[in-house]
Amino acid sequence: MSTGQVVTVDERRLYALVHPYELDGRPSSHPVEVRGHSTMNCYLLLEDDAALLYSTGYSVHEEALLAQLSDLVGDRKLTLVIPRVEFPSMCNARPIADRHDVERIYLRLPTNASDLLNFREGHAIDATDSLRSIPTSTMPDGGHARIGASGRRLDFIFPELRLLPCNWAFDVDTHTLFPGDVFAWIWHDRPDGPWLLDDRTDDPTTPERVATFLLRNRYWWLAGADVEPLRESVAQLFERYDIRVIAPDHGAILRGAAVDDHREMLDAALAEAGRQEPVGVEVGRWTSTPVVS
Amino acid sequence: MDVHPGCVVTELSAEHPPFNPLPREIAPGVFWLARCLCIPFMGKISHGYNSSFLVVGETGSAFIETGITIDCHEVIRQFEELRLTHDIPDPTHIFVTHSEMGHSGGLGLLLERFPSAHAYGDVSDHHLVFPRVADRLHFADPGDRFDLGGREIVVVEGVFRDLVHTRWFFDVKQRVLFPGDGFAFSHYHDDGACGRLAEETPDLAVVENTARFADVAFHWTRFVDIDPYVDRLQTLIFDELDVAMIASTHGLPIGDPVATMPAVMDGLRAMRTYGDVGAD
Repeated sequence: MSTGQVVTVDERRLYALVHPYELDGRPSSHPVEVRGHSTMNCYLLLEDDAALLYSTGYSVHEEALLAQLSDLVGDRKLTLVIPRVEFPSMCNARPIADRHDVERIYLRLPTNASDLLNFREGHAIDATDSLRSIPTSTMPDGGHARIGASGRRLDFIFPELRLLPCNWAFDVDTHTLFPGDVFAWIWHDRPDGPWLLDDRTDDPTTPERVATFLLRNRYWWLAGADVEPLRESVAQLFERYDIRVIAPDHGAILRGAAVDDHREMLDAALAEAGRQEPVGVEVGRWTSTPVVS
Repeated sequence: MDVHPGCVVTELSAEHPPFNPLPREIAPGVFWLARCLCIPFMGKISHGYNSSFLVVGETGSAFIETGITIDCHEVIRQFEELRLTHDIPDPTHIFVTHSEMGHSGGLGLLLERFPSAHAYGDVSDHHLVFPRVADRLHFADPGDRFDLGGREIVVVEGVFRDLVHTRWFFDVKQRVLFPGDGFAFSHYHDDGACGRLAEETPDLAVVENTARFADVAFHWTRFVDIDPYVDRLQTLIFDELDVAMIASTHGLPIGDPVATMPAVMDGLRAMRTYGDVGAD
């Protein structure tokens, strides 16, 4: 069982709880033909009196994630943010709620946490279920969560560049953008990374990798699409916010010079995708044959 | 806000009164298991489904889709209710179109409840989510065939999708197509649509409801030419499969594709501009 890594993004303010997994064709985060290792990243925003966990990760990482939270959160009150209606965001909400003082859960859907998040074997909806009593809020575009007495703000963003309904977010204090399944294209041969990049050193990314990541998987529909509104929306986001860190759900966190490099690679990939022939109908016949080790 | 019997009021998380028009046998040996999720919209109560379907063979039965997590316990309850009055073999197959919550959110609970069943389809991520049953998860590709005993389920390309390896399924015996996210449209409780086929609901407004559902759930349709997808759907449904019924996960089942498909196709074409004219 992997213990994962705690990657310090901003000392005592923001930590990435990084959990490697193998790219063997089965994860939905990457194209079926990609091999190597990526990560499930959960982010801990820490204040003296409170903490916020952004995404709760996959079930297979439960023990490692709980150990990391035990060390870092202590007895602080905890807020959970679940920005995607997909498994990567949702799997460990129940065990976290059973062990920590969770005061609120932010969800995409207007429902209660117990109904939505008790989907794993053995997670009975009964008196042992701590999710039942935790208040929930939705995540409207332009809304935000506050962390502790300092009032540290996490802005919610409803991105134009998305496949499934999801939120992105921006941590105002650390200038960190959380872009979900975009910018998640850095994978390595080895599970130990590195999972924090300040520049192009140790960065295997090429324009071809970005294109493959997008067009052979979740963003298959970009080929031949009207991409100008999407390019414009990303540009506007980077004008609106002073983004110094990009913290995706999967793969390496980008900081410093790496931020602009990867923003430019995304824009170039979008522009090139728009010049391609559409493949949307043919995608339905792409095979999903993975190699299971 | 009124609470509709048998429908899940998402804002209120209400207690669920015992009445629900489902389960319902929509074709011989094909049962519709679900309950409505309802959300206030423009002064009315808009409903959507995250349906599961049960296909009954001679040696095994199959769930197609699992219901969203909120619904899975209800899906299992409806299955047990049906077994009291119908000869239904143990579930051997669970087909999921893709790994989104509305389609496979209940997979772990179903695999736990029915230990002889295996899951097939787009099972991306599920080994990371349900590791205890990873050996019962199997990808399937278009053309794969599964025998339920006197009844065959064929895997079909997912013409309209979000996740890339989405699969559709086809019951050869009754010519029922299970298209997952395809043919998704909401309905209004006040129109008496809950638990009915599209053709049994004269006021359904398929065009508007198809476009509105896409505006929320299928954002990519705003950036592409949808006509190639419409053309492929027409060919697949009428020329290649000769589909008699369409059992969508999110829409009402379509019992007369020839009559209803034109409105669905108009709804697909209206997706791109729906938000521009004001979804509010």
